[in-house]
Amino acid sequence: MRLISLLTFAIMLISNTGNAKSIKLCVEERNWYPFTYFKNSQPQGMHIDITKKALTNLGYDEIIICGAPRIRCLQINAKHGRVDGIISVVYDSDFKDYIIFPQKQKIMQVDHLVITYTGSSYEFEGDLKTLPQPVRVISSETSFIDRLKNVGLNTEAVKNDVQNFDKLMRDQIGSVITTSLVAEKMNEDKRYQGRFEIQATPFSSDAYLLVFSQKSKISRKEMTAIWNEIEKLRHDYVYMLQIFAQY
Amino acid sequence: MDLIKKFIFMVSLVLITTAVEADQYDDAIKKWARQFQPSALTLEEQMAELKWFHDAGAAFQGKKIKSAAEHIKTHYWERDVLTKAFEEITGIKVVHEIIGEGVVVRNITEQIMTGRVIFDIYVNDADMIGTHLRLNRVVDLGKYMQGSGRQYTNPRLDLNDFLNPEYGQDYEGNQLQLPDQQFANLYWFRYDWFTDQDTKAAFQKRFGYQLGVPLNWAAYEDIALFFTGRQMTNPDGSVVKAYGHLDYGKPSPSLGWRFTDAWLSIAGVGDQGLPNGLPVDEWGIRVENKIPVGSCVERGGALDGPAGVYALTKYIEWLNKFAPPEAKQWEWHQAGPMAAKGNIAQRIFQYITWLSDDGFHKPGTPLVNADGKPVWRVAPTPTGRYWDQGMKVGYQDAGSWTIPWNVRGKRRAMAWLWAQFCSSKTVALKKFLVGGTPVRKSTVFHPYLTQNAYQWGGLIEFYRSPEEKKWTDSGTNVPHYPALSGIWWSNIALAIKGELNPQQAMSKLAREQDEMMIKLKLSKYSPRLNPKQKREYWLQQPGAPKPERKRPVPKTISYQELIKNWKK
Repeated sequence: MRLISLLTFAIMLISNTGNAKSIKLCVEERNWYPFTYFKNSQPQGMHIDITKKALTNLGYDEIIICGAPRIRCLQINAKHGRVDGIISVVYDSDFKDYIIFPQKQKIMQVDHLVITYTGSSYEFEGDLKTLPQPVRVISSETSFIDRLKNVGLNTEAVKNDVQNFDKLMRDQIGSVITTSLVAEKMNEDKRYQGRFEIQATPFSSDAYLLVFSQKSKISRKEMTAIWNEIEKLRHDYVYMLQIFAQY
Repeated sequence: MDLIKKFIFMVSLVLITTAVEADQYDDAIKKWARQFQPSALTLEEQMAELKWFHDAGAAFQGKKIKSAAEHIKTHYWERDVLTKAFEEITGIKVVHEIIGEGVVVRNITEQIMTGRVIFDIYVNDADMIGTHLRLNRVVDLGKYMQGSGRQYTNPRLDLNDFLNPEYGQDYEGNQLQLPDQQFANLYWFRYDWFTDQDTKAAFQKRFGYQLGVPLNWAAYEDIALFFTGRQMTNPDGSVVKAYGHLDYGKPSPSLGWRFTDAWLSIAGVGDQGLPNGLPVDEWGIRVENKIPVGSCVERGGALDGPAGVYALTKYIEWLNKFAPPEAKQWEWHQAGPMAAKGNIAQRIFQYITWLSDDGFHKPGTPLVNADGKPVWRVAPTPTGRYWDQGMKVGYQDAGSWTIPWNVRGKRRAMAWLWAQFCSSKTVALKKFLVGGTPVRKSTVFHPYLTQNAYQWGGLIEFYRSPEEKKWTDSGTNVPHYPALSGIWWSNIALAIKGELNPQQAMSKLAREQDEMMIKLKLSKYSPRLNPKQKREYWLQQPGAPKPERKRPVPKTISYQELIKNWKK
């Protein structure tokens, strides 16, 4: 009797292992609160929550999310199939040889703003060509860099927002592209407080996506199912309001 | 010489252009002042106010902003008329998008929590004041008026003239939102049917007391039973099979606010106290020193107590027994004007917003007498069995101009000008005549409305009465309206479908509300839940949560007697 029980347990274990769905994703190691950030080395944020919830709804019981610089996420981890996908990437045709982008399903729309040094009479009204130079951006936001270079602007790309703000404070010229929440957070820091202007008109509004590696073993059908589940959550009135409230 | 000629020519050109532009704006000011009649201001005062808007907006000519408001008549008029007037007078273009209230809440929440710039300003119900004061992510209009927005603040704004500016104020009295349209929730009934001698006699014979305005839910229930299925005649001659009740039940955000606005407060879930019960309010939330400490009875809240269960039970029972069957598929805006069809005898909670619908006023329709006077009236809502003297007696709120924190600089200034324009004395009375949602005392006390009060079935008397202060909104205690309100309708929908009984639904709702409250990230007055105790412990304490009560004796009153309270 005991033997039968053990055998049954073993069979259950094997069959469960066979059905287990696992996925490995990469996210940029960046303090990009409230969208993606790390707390106690664990990825957190609205985009992480939405992605994990979609995967859990589809039966994924092993969801591994590792952090790395976004370029490494894209050009090494995803390109060589070390991860199945990357959380929070803006469409960039430069990566389409090894990245699969969704057609329209996004995790979230995020706006970026222009920051200028205080006292300047400059007012951004949507024309990129007028931006004070150098325009400082995060190096991983490759689509911003492309947009700025396309209009012939001198662009500086660094790893994080703090470096950009430090440079703006030091040089007192040029501009920084960042989110409203990062700017407000910086304004709480005595080093920067009252020393910069947040321009009223947004620089951009971009769809942030979950993208997959061409080398992932996840089928195209399954990728579409994941994107659709994310889209469904984004349209879930109650769920989204509760996500917003927790950050 | 050529140079001098050129110079003179250029100067002349500039002067002519300036003069033409000045004429153009003067003409616009005159034109619109004449169109905004009647007004609480004289024509000269209106023109002076409009001239101020022109001058204040001069620096922004040719610029554009976006605002959002819910789909009611008042806001459609703002979109169709006021945007044109504002642009012709100031040169600022406003795209005033009319969307569902649920979408307004979703968008403003996304904007303040993620920093997106979706709209420059919202007409957002002051029910969200508890959220705004805890998140600190909307512009403090009071500070703005005193500081960088001083030059864009209308000297004729006159905050004291607003009926209830306190709805948009935080605990300290800072003005975070400015009322744009105000709407009360009142009892509505067919005065002609209630005073018809044969109908009265039949009611007296069946129930043993006089048909009149119900003072409690027991009487409302009897009246609903009496009228449902009864053949009644309208002033236009149409004969209808009447319904004794009107409500709506489609799972949607508006189902949630049906409960948070109306059912629970009037059932008597909360404690005594104005504007909201203390320590327990009508959301069933116990609040101590501005800190929410629990919704479920075990934590001292009242959401799943006998009063909350009674409210949900009666809601479902009356919807099934006394309302048109299709009401279960309606949302707030679909049910709103339905009483105008002429087959509804009474409605326990009627938002006055919908009384501006043509069906309630237009001669020749079922609700209007041959003399052009409406045959319906509004009165205070009858109260549930857990309601006690000293509690709020009804719900009203103000859709209020709210500027998210991330709208800055010139955009903020333009948004503020637009908000003030829509609530200005110049346009306020005219706006009321269109949409029936007043915000100013100078509107409701205007002689024009004294002469024409009969058209509003008691509404003018209501707004002129000191009793009006007993109708209040959700107030400051609700820590995060958007996150919590979603829990309500999804659980109530389960009870409507019969998947949960009312006690199960309210218990699940209370548990989920508490779970959500502890997850909230707020900058101040964050919830801290009480430890759980036995339900009996809290039910034995004075006030809410209240132990079970029996059905009281049904009581009614004649409308004439009742309206005396509003005319005092």
